[in-house]
Parts: sequence; structure tokens; C-alpha cells
Amino acid sequence: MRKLKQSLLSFFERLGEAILALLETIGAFSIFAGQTFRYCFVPPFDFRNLLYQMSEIGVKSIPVGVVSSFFVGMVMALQLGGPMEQQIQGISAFMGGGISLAMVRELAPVLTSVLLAGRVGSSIAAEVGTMKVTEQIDALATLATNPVHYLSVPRFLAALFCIPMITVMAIVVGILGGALISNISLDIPYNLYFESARTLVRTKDLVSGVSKTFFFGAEIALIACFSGFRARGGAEGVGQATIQAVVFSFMMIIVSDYFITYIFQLFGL
Amino acid sequence: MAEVHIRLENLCKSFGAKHVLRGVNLDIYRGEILYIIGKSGSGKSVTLKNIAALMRPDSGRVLIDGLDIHALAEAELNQLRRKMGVLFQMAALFDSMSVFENVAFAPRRFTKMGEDELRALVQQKLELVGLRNVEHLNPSALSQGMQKRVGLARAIALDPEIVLYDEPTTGVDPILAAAVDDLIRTLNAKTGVTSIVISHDINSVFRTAHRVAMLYDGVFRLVGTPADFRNSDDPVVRQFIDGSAHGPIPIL
Ligand SMILES: Nc1ncnc2c1ncn2[C@@H]1O[C@H](COP(=O)(O)OP(=O)(O)OP(=O)(O)O)[C@@H](O)[C@H]1O
Ligand SMILES: [Mg+2]
Repeated sequence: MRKLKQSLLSFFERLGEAILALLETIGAFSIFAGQTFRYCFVPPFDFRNLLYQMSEIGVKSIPVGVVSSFFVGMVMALQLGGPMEQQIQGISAFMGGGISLAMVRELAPVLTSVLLAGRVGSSIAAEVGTMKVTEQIDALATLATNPVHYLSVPRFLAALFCIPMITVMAIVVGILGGALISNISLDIPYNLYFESARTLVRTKDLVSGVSKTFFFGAEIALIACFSGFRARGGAEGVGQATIQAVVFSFMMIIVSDYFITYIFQLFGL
Repeated sequence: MAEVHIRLENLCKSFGAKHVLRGVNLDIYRGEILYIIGKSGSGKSVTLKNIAALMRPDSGRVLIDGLDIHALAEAELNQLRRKMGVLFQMAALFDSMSVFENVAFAPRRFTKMGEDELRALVQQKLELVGLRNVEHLNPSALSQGMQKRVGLARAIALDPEIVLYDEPTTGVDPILAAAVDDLIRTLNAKTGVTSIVISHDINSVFRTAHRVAMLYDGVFRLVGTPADFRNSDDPVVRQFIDGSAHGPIPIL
């Protein structure tokens, strides 16, 4: 009985500590995010650095995003065509609309963001984390340069601009992938496919799908920079920070996708 | 030499249950070379980071020119930091940039120099620390000693009034170490810069210091000239200076 009581007590103690640590992290993250927003509007504006980050984060991610999306479009056509046609004759005439709608509203935004969370989030966290544990971030501060301003702002802005743009490319290419396989293996003519896409997908779908990715881009960059800044204790700490950044941004993308979509729907998007 | 440039007032700093600084008091005069010595883990780097405002003390103040630097707003602190150079223990060069970009970092941000002027400035600072034709290299291509010298060139790029050196001669061969000591003295004599140097190297200390402060058990055990240290009969000071494993200082 006494033993039970003790182990219960220590369980609650540890639970309490874990909750406190979580709250502390959330608080620190909010402060960090707030600082990043604020410094976006504080001079000096480092355009050289921003362009560099846009090429690192954006341009170099295009192949990953586009190729993956093309294959997702293809596999959707492959998976849906047969079963749908078996149920209802002629339904595959709507293939173009189905694939395009899924691509525009959900698949391309989430897929692109998750891929970039892996590619970009890990590299940001590793780079910033290495700078932290080798005192380069302290060195920045002694050179009268705010580290959040110098490191976080350009990465944040680059992710904010680039991820929606890559999403748009992914949408286009994904729809094309679907068209290709619909034509080859289901004999759906291209004009029928695109006609159906045009009737089903409306502007508001595009607005909804693409504007989500602004949030995802912000999440990826902020979580990755934050993890890097909190890294401590050498190479192992950098590894931890990197894993943490990737796992948390995956989770945040999926979770926030639901809530953002829910809120968008309230506004008729 | 009597004007106080930097004043440490009752600095305390703990990490968890570990009390690293327990009330550090020291006046550092304008234009002097002050060495801080003490065994590994005694809090030398922590003291330096408090002076550079990289770490906040739990209590106590750091006054530079009479200003409490931990109470300054960010803009004022950054103004002050342009007049302070810091050489880190591991050099802390930006490894995504060339040597040139490292040394040019602060001048590029805070002066209106053109590329030609920058090039000339960087070359001059690098030559001052005994390096030539390394501008295009990446920091990872340099030896530890060279990295430290580039770090020093970066720290003095804006001609600061204060330079903080964290172990400038550790990991540097004896001839280079002597050269670095000369450099600290030359810089001090030429520009009247106030220098705070952390060192383990007793030879360097006696060769270069105007004054020495020994950190022990969270406070300065002795502050004085090199001669004061040579003549001290405090067993703790003696043991450190003689470099003996036996004495009152616990090894672990
Ligand atoms: N950020 C930190 N978090 C926790 N403990 C720290 C931190 N910084 C320093 N310490 C601890 O404070 C003590 C003093 O560290 P400091 O780096 O000042 O030593 P030092 O005198 O510079 O030693 P060395 O000669 O080896 O460089 C050490 O025990 C160290 O573990
Ligand atoms: Mg140290």
C-alpha cells in the first residue's frame, strides 16, 4: 500500500515536471516566434542573405517537391481508376476533377510541406545548432548582431515565400502526372481530364490549398531555428535538435492542417 | 592609468547547485593588460561571458565606462559592443564564410567602406596577426592556431577599446604563443586598448601581464602585479604558479 502510494507520488511528480518543461518550451517558442516577427521589420535588411536562403531553401527544393508530386498524381490515377470504374460505369470521366481537387486542396500543400520539413527543417536545425554549440552564435552577438535577426529572419522569410511557390508547382505537376496515367492506363483523353478538372476545381480551392502553406512554411522555419538555438552539448546535441525539428514540424503540419482547414471552411474556403 | 574602465561588482553565477562565481569584485583600468588565471572549470570563461554580456549574472553588475551593461537596451548594448572585441576559446569562426568574410563581418555591417577599402582593412588586420594570403580559405582549412589568429583579426577589425581574449595561446605552438603575447602587448601599446586575457600559460602571464587576477573557489584569490604573484606565499597561489599536483588545490 505504502509502496503503491510512493510510486503514484513519484509518477505524478514526474508528470508534473514533464508538463512544466512542456509549458516552458511553449513559452520560449512563443517568445522566439514573436522576436522573429518583430525583427522582420527592423533594419538592417539583409537582402543578400535572404536571396541566399531563398536559393538554399527554395530553389534547391524544387526537384524534390516536383518529382514527388508527379508520382503522387500518377499513383492516384492508378489506384482510383480501376475500382471506381468497377462500381460505376463511366465515373472515370471525373478522374481529372477528383485528382486535381485532392492535389489542390490537400495533397500538394501537405506533401510539399512535409518533404520540405525533412529537407529544409533538418538542414536549418543542424546549421543553427552547430553554430550554437561552437559559440558562433555568441560570436554574432559580440559583433553587435542580434542572432535571431541575422539567422532566423532570412530563413523564416525564405520559407514563407518559397514553400507556397513550390506548392503551386507541385499542384501543376501532380495534375499532369494524373493526366498522363489516366490517359495511358485508363484511356481517358486529355481534354476530358482537364475539362473535368476545370469544372470541379474553383479559385477558392486554390486559395485554400496554397494559403495553408504560408502557415506550414512559417512553422517549419521557426521550429527548426528554435531547435537549433536550443541545442547544447556538442555534436550529439546538434543531432537531437535536428531530430526534434523534423519530428515536431511533421506533427505540427499535420495537426495544424486540420485546424486551418476547419477555420477556412468557416469562411467558406 | 588610474581611470576605471570596467568594474565587476559582486558578480554571482550558479548553474543549478554549482556556484561558479560567488561574488567577484574587480576594477580594470583603461589601457591595462589584465590576465585572469585559475584552474580549468574555475569560471574564467563565465566571467568573460558576463563582461561581454553573453551571460547574465544571477546578481551583481558589470560597469563599462560607468554603464551597467546588463541593464542596457539592445541598441545601446550593440553600440557598446562595437567598441569591444572578443576572441573565443575555440575561435568560433563562421564556418559558412571565408576568412575574408569573417574578418570583414563587422566593418561590412557597421561602416560604409567599399570593397577595396574592406580588402585593404582585412589584409592589414590579418598581417597584424601574422597571416597572409588566407582570405579565400574556409575556416575549416586552417589549423587551430591559425583559426585563433583569424578570430583575433575579426575581433579587432573595428579597432575596439576593449579586447577580451579567451585562452589565445592554448593550442598554439610555443613560438607562435610568444608571437601572440607580443601581439597583445603591441596592440595595447599602439592603441591603448584595455585587454583582459584568460590564460593557463604561466610563462605568457609573467611575460605579458600588467596585472594578474587569480580565480579560485568563485572569488579572486589574489589580484596584483606579476611580482606580487612571484612573491606570494599563499599556498594556493604558489601551487598554481609552480604547477604542482600537490597542494591545497583539489584536482577533482
Ligand atoms: N552554460 C552553462 N551551463 C551549465 N554549466 C556551465 C555553463 N557554462 C559553464 N558552466 C560550468 O561552469 C564552470 C566554469 O566554466 P568555465 O567555462 O568558466 O571554466 P573555465 O575556467 O573557463 O575553464 P577552462 O580553463 O577549462 O576553459 C564549469 O564547471 C562549467 O561546467
Ligand atoms: Mg574557459
